[in-house]
Amino acid sequence: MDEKTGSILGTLRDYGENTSAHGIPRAVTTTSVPRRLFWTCLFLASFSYFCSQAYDLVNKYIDYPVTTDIKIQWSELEFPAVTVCNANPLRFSMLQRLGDEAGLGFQNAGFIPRQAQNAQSNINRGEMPIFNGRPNQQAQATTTPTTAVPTTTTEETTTPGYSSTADYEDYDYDYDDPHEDFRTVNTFVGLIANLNTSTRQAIGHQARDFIQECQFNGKACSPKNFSVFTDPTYGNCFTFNKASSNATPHSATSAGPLNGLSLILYIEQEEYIPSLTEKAGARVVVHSPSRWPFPEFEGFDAAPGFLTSAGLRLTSITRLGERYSECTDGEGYELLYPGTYTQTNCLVTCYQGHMVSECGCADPSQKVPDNTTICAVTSTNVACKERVTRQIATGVLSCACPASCSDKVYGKAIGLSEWPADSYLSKLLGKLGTKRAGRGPGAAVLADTDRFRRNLLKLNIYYEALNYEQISESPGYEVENLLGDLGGQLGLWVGMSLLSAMEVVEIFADLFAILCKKISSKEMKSSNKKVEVAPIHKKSVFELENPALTANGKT
Amino acid sequence: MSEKRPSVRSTLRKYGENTSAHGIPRAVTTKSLPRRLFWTCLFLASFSYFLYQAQTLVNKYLVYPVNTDVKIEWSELEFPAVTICNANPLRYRELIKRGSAAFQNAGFIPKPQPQGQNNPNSNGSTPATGSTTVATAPTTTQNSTSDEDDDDYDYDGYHGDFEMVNSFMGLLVQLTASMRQSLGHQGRDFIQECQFDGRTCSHRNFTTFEDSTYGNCFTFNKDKDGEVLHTATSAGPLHGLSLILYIEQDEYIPAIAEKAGARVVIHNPYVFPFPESEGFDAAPGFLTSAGLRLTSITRLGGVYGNCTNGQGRHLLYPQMYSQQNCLATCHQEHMVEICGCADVTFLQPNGTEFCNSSKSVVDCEEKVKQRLGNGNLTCQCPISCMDRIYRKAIGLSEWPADSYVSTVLNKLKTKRRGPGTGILDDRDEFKKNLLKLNIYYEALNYETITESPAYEVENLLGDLGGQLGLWVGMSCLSAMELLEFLVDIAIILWKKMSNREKTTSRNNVVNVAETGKIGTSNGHTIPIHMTEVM
Repeated sequence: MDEKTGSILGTLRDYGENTSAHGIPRAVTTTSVPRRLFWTCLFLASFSYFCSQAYDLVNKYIDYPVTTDIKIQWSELEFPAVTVCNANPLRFSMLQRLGDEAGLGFQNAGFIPRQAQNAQSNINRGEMPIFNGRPNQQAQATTTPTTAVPTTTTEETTTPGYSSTADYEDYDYDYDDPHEDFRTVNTFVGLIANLNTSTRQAIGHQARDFIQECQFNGKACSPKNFSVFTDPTYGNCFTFNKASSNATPHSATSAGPLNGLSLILYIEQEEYIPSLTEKAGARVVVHSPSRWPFPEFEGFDAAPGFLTSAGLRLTSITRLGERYSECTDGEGYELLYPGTYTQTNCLVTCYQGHMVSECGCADPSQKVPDNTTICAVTSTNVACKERVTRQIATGVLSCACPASCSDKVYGKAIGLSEWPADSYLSKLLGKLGTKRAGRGPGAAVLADTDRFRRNLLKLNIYYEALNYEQISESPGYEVENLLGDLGGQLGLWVGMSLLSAMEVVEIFADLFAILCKKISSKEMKSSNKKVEVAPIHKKSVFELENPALTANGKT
Repeated sequence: MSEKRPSVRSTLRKYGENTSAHGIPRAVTTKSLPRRLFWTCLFLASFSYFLYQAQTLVNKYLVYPVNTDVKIEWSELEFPAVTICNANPLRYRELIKRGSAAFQNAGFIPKPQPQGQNNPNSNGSTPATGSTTVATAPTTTQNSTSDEDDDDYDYDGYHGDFEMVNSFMGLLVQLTASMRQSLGHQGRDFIQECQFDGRTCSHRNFTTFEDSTYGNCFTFNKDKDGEVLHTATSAGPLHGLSLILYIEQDEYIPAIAEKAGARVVIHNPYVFPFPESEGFDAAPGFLTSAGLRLTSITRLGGVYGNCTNGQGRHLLYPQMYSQQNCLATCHQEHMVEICGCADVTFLQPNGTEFCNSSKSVVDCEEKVKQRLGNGNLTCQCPISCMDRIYRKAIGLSEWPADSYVSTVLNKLKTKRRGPGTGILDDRDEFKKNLLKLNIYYEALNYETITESPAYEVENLLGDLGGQLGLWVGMSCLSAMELLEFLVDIAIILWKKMSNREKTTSRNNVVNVAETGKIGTSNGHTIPIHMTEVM
């Protein structure tokens, strides 16, 4: 500002000499042209390099990276909910006793014997009507089938024939023909979906039969501590330690099997549906108390005659959410199953929603929403279901189901041992024998060791340790990191700061003021008012904020 | 350049007054000596602290730290490859029929009776002969071990079982590959029923390969040219792979097959399976279900970590790079190099011979293992940069359920190559010979673990610049000022030198100024002269 006349060149030179940005004063003050060129180039090069670095930094920030911290913590832990289901969905004896309309479907599908035609169905097996179940041999089913129908299996099959691969009725894997077992299961699921809930619960396995002994944290518990729900695949399932509004969930005070949940289950193999239930045992799901279990997807099996022990390790996962990672706390989601938000719950809801909108009916293998019909097992429905599943999987039909923001994962170490030990058997029999009539397995099962082992199992679920892994996310690169890096880079390359940038703003304002003055002075010259030009100049320098107004006022 | 005659001192002063580095102008312009001292010390202290910090930062950068991001994603998933093997490597009856004398001498199959009458009967009486072999044939080895039963664990003697398995493998590799395949359990007998995603499949959907321990193994959904891998569209057992396997226990070799069942490996379709080290067992009479969860890992590699995508690596086993594959290759190469023969537990490289079981070779084998173990021999086998890990929740339930037996029986009896009525009609035999396997995704969401650079060059520069600015207020351009200053000094010195020469050679003084001017204008070329002089 020491120059008398505010010429553009003068202002620029003034800025160049005094700016706090490095390099520019050098370029301005030097008298040698090569040096000026050198400094100008250097400044521009530095500045453009800074720009490219700044671009990278901003990009990095916009990615919103997270750092994942893993900590081992120790505290009293909430005991997980344990859901147990019998591998068999409905009791065979109760199914046979169903009323006519309901029972007819099961009869037609071959799940329960038709009263008259028992013997005949065996012969026509090969023809396979569209949805036939299996030939009915329930009479023999519970006993060992020592005499079976002789078939065409010949001795030849046991001899090795490694040269002959072609002689043989095998089919290649092909997409058009559903497997027989698959159809059987689907047919059955479709049939039971048509029964009302109370009937299904009544004809399923009952808690007081299924759960013979219950022990938690050294204290006795009973079937009353379990809440029941009906699963489309496994029928009645029983959940221990489910979260409810009026009871706080149990917590584990120490590790080890003695402080966990210990169950003796009676699976009632006599009640298994012969043509449907292939495996015998119990299905077990260990899950967070507040969420809904999906036994078919998530569980593991426990076999009769064994003690299955599952040692648990908790991993608690917390995600940041929002722009850092895609997750939701479930607010605003309308879910098919009760309980807190889980990705599986959301996906099932989404799938069922697409089924209803695409096929016009609900898939019976999941919970059926209100006011919708259940898909009958027709070929169009099956094809439609197939299409919906595929389209969801490939993303044609979308499901907005992010992961849950806080998650509890139970790592399981599952082991088997024979149960009961030979010498323990008598003690166990004594214990179970004292149960009230109709509640215990009954004398017939208890008397026969083989039958006992095929019908009872023990389950131990406990924490291996009360320490748990906590995985949490924290922002990896926040705005203060970005500013720090930007400032550092700016300082490193051109020695500038935010205030240097303000100097640039200042010079633009100055230049603008000068331009305005020039214009106004030109106009004044043309109107021959020379005398007033000088004061206007001086004034405008001090009224930088409003040079336009000043100029206007004078004209 | 305003001064007529730039001296070193004046250049220095000029630099000090005009430099953009903080502190120096203060030290130069002040008139009081203590203040000058104070500012100089302060500048030097600040600058050295900056250097210390810079060193820490550069070290941090050179460690190439990574951030690990864990995400849960959801999509249609490629179904993993499933490899199943019978626990028994060769069929006993076939071995008796076609096995060589070597097997008889080692006691794996009974020696033919001198009368030669045994052969026609052998088919019918195998269980009997089988049990006699257990009792009689391996007596030689049993005798030697039974004396040492009470021995403490000691490194010098091998366990009888270990020797037995090794000698069997040694005999096995002497057979031709086609012979071994035909002696082993056949896919069409082993795989009785196959169901994938609700659809029927058969043993033809399996690829056969031969494992040194388990004989014929069968892989479902292996990556093959021109074939699309199967994908899972839905979670749960109904949409996974479901197999009924017939293990033919009466074909088990009495002396070697200790366990009965199937070995199962669930692996990446692009990678070769190693049933012995990776798999799990499925027992007959049970339904073994394995619920899977996929974790997909991507590592950065390069400077950030030691991993490889396997390019340019020679591998003994086919398919893509895996650490296991590489380690096996490396082991075998060391064996061939040191002992001159190939280890029977691995594939045979071209142009080599398998080791026999002579004392010297066994010792050599042992030595190689030991040297590999203690790092004396090295293997360059980093983990692979892309990895898929299948977490398995394995559970057992009894199979078939009592009431379901008849249903299974009817299904299996209609098969032309079913297990046969002898097994199907005896419930006990049935449970000892058949098993079911369910392999499915627990959920179609999967975990991706990716690495990303945690501290990149722009962060380093940012931090360096920040530190430089904080402590001495300098920038790169300030450093260039320093450079310019040095160049100026150099020019002045050069001029002085030439001046002196000229005075000695009595040249006139006027020329000095001219050369000086030329020198400054050619500022860029001068330093090169100087370095040449130095």
